[in-house]
Amino acid sequence: MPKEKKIRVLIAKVGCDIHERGALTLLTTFRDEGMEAIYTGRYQTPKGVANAAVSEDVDVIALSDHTGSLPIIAEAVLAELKKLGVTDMPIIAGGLLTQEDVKVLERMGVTGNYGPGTPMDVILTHIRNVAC
Amino acid sequence: MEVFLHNLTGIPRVDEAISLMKARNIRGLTRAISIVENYEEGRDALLNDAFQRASEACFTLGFTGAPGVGKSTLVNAVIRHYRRSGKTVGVMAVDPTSPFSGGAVLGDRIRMQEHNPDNGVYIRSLASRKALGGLSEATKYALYLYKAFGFDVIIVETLGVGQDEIDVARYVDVTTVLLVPGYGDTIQMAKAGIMEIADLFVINKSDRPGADLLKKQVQNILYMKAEKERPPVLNTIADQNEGIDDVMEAIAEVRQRKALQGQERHRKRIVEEIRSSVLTRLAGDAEPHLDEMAGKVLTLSMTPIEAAELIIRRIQKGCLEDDEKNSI
Ligand SMILES: Nc1nc2c(ncn2[C@@H]2O[C@H](COP(=O)(O)OP(=O)(O)OP(=O)(O)O)[C@@H](O)[C@H]2O)c(=O)[nH]1
Ligand SMILES: [Mg+2]
Repeated sequence: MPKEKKIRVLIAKVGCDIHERGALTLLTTFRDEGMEAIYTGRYQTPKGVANAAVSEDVDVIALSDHTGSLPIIAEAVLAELKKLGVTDMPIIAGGLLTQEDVKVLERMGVTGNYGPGTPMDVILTHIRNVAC
Repeated sequence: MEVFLHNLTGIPRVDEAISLMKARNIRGLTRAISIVENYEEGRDALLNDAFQRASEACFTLGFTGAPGVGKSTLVNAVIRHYRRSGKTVGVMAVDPTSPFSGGAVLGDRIRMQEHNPDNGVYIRSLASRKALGGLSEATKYALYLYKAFGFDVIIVETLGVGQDEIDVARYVDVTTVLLVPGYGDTIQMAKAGIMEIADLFVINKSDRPGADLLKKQVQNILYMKAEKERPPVLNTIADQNEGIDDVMEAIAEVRQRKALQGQERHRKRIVEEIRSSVLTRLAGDAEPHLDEMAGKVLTLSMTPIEAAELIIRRIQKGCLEDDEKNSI
C-alpha cells in the first residue's frame, strides 16, 4: 500500500480569548489543502494543549491568540510538552503580536509568528516546511 | 492508574513504539496509531504484536448516528461517568475525510475538551480516509492497539451514514445508535440497516419537540423483535447531562446479556477482520494495474469484467512466483 502521510495540525487556544474566527478559518483552509486539522476549542490550559498535541501525534501546533499573550502561552505550552518528553514539536503562532513578542517567540524557537492580514499561502508554505 | 508517563527523547520507531506501549507510555500508542494510519515500515509487526497482547477484558462501546445528533457530547458525558469510578478510557473519534481535498476537520475533540488535562483519558481523532466500504482501516486496527494498551473502556465514535454504523457494530461489544427528533423518519432508518445493529437507541436532544413521538415510533418498529432482545430506547439531553445514568445502566444490562453469546460474536468478529485484511491487501495489489486496464477498456479492447479477471490472474501469478522463490 502507498504511504499516506498527511500533515496533522492542532489549532490551539489557551486562556480567556473569545476570538475564534481566525482558528475556524484556518481549520477549513487546512482541510481544503489536504491536511487534517484538529481544534482544541477555546479556553484551554497549556497542559490540555500539550496532552492533545501528543495524543493526536500532530506535526505542528498552531497557537492562536488575540489578547497579546502569545509569548506567555507559548512558553507554558513548551514547558508542558517538555514534561511529556517532547522537545521537537514545531510550534507556530498567530494573532495579535508586537514586534517585541515576535523576538521573544523566536528566541523560544516558535516560528511563523503571523499577525492579522498574513496571506494564507505564507502560512501554508510555512506549515509544510516545519511539518517535515 | 496514570495513562501518561513521562521522560522520553526523540521519536520512537516501531520497536520503540512497541516497547513504549508495553511500558504503558502514551507516546507509544500515539506513535503506533500513526504508523498504522500512514502504512509506515513495520506496520504488520506492530499489529501482530498488538493482536497477541490485545486484552479482551477491555469493554468496547460504539456510538453512531447522523451528523450533529450529539454523539461527541454524549461520549463526553460517558467518559465523565467512567472517570468517576476511576476507569481509564480510550476514545477513537472518526470524522469524514473530504472527498475533494483528502483533508479533514476533526472536530469531535472540541466537545470532549474538559478531559484534555486528564491523564486517565486518551482521545484520538481519526479521519475516515479511504474506507473500503465502512469503518476506516486505521480505526479497525487502532482498536487492537487500544486493546493492547489495555484501557478499561474503549469508545468509538463514528459517523453513521450507510455502511459505517453496520461496520462499527461488528467490532465493539455494545453499539448505541443516536437519533434526534425532527430528522427524517423511521423508514429511512430501517432502510439504512440501523435497526438491526443497534443494541440501544438514544433519542438525544429530547429538549426538542417530537422526542416522545420518535421514541414511540422506534419502539413500534422494534416490537417485532423478541422481548429479550429488544433494544432499550432512552431519552437524553446530552449537553445538560440528562438521562446519562439511565443510558449507562442500559449499556451495562446489554453487556451482560450479550456476554452469553460472547464466543460466537468473537468468532464472527475474527472472520470479519480477516476478510477485511484480505480485501485491503487485494485492493492494494490491484491498484498498480488499474490505470493500464482502464486504458484497455476505453479503447474497447476489453470489458471491465475481463480487465478484472486479468488483474486477478496477474496477482495470482505474482504469488506463485513468490512461493517458488521461498521454496528454493
Ligand atoms: N438542544 C440540544 N443540543 C444538543 C444536545 N446534545 C448536543 N447538542 C448540540 O448539538 C451540536 C452537535 O453536537 P455534537 O456532539 O458535536 O454532535 P456529533 O453527532 O458528534 O456531530 P458530528 O461528529 O459532527 O457528526 C452541538 O452544538 C451540541 O451542543 C441536546 O441534548 N440538546
Ligand atoms: Mg462528533
